[in-house]
Amino acid sequence: MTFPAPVSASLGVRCPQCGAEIAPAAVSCPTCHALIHAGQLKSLAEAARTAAARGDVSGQLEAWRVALTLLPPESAQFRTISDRVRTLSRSLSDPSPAPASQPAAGDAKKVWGGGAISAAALLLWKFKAAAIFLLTKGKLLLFGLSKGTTFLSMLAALGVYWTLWGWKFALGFVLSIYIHEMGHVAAMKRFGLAATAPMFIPGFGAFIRMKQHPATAQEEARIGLGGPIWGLAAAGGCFLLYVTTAQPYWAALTHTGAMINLFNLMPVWQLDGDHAFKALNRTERWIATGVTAGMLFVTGEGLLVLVGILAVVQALREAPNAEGDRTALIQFAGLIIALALLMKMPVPGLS
Amino acid sequence: MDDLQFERAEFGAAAPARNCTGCHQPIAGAYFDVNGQPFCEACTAAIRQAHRESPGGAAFGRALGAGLLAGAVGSSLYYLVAKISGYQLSIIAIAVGFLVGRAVRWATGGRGGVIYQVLAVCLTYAAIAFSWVPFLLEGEGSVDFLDVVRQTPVILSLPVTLGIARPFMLVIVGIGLWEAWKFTAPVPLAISGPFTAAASRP
Repeated sequence: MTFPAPVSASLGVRCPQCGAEIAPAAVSCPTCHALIHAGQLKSLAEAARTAAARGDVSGQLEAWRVALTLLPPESAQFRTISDRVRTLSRSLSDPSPAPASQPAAGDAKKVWGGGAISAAALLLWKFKAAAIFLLTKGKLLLFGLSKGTTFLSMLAALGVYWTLWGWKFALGFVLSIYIHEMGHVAAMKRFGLAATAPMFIPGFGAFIRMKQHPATAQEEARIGLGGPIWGLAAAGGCFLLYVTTAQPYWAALTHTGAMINLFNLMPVWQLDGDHAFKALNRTERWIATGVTAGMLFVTGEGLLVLVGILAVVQALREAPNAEGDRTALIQFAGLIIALALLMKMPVPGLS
Repeated sequence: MDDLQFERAEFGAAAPARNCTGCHQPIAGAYFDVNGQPFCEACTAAIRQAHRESPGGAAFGRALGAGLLAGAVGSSLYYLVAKISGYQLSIIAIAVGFLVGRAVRWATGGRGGVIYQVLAVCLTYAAIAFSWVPFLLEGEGSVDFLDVVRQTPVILSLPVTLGIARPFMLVIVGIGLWEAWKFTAPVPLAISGPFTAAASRP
């Protein structure tokens, strides 16, 4: 057996300040403490300040996260920027108060109780919200397709599924997966995290690799659940089209889309549910388990047995984030309920 | 944030002592950069020596045993998930590759190597193939252990024969095998240095 020959010759770089030879991976000179990437750090700090001036939290996070990779972790600068990143991340993780133009939960109840006119008004408002969503997020969906690896791997996946199920269902299936992945991308962009473009693998689905670590458990949960939330929106859209058109095609896509997203909610390995559970404290984990068990009782859906067993295992383990994350719990529970109900929907022609 | 400067790293009252990643002792004189981490001279020499030595038959035996056990767990997992949920999730093939790869790597002390990569891939393939045995047995009624042994060639051909009918299953099996191969790959050793931990100014 042979091993790669170790490099024994010095292959270091010179410190721009004192000229001492330093290791290639070093970010500061051990002799004079000069920061090797000082120029880039100043540019990043400037970019973060510009983003702050225009109120762009994601832009600030993006710049400061890159800066952290160019600083020694023991340095005061690293600690200051880390704290800043955590503060900014929390400001995005915590649910913001509902904008004045949108009705709060209590208002919505009043609208529902206000008769046909109010119901129609609510419907219009919902369509408006959907239109705004499509206009803002649609840009991101199109942007994702401009990435060569995404588009080409998507075509390859489409080809494989086409041979199995025909082009129509294959297209809907691939788009469902794509929307799920772009949910993650949208969340990562929001938190200023760098990641690869979605890559499709036929039979496996698709994946995105993060290039940086999330700063907080809450941030990881938002990114993890971003995919299933968008996936639920796609499955819900298919459901609405099925209700409108009565075409079995849309029912099949609803069922499949819901199944993909429910599968991803398993709190294990690197699935989305695992990222969500990292943010939950023990009580919240038991609540999530209870919701899963409740939906299993209601729907009898087999995937929920797996989600439930894994959730129990997670609940019995020590939760690293003792403070918990109520938003993640609400999102997780909401997804379990909605996706399980969508999966329960009968698909014509499918026993 | 405005008072941050990026000319020199600030370490407070005292600059942090550079510790060796191996022995965790402060590095006084020269140090080496091993895959991006600082190591003292003694630890670097030990790493070089360990990397040159052959792990021997005992390590291979351990890897075989650990890989077989992980493969058995993986096979059982596939069957259990199918029984519990009603879904035959091909994606578990990836988990099988992960389990076997990790087990073989653990048994070799994290070294890896081509021979262990081949072992891990073979064990993963066999584990995936044998994961269908319980389903076949259920359909056959009374089948004893010898029948299964006699049918081993047929069982081992299952991932391919079933995969021809379901091409994406072949892809997933391939990813599972890739996981096993990846986890047992030899770690390339990049050593540079020596560098001085606290050189005098030129």
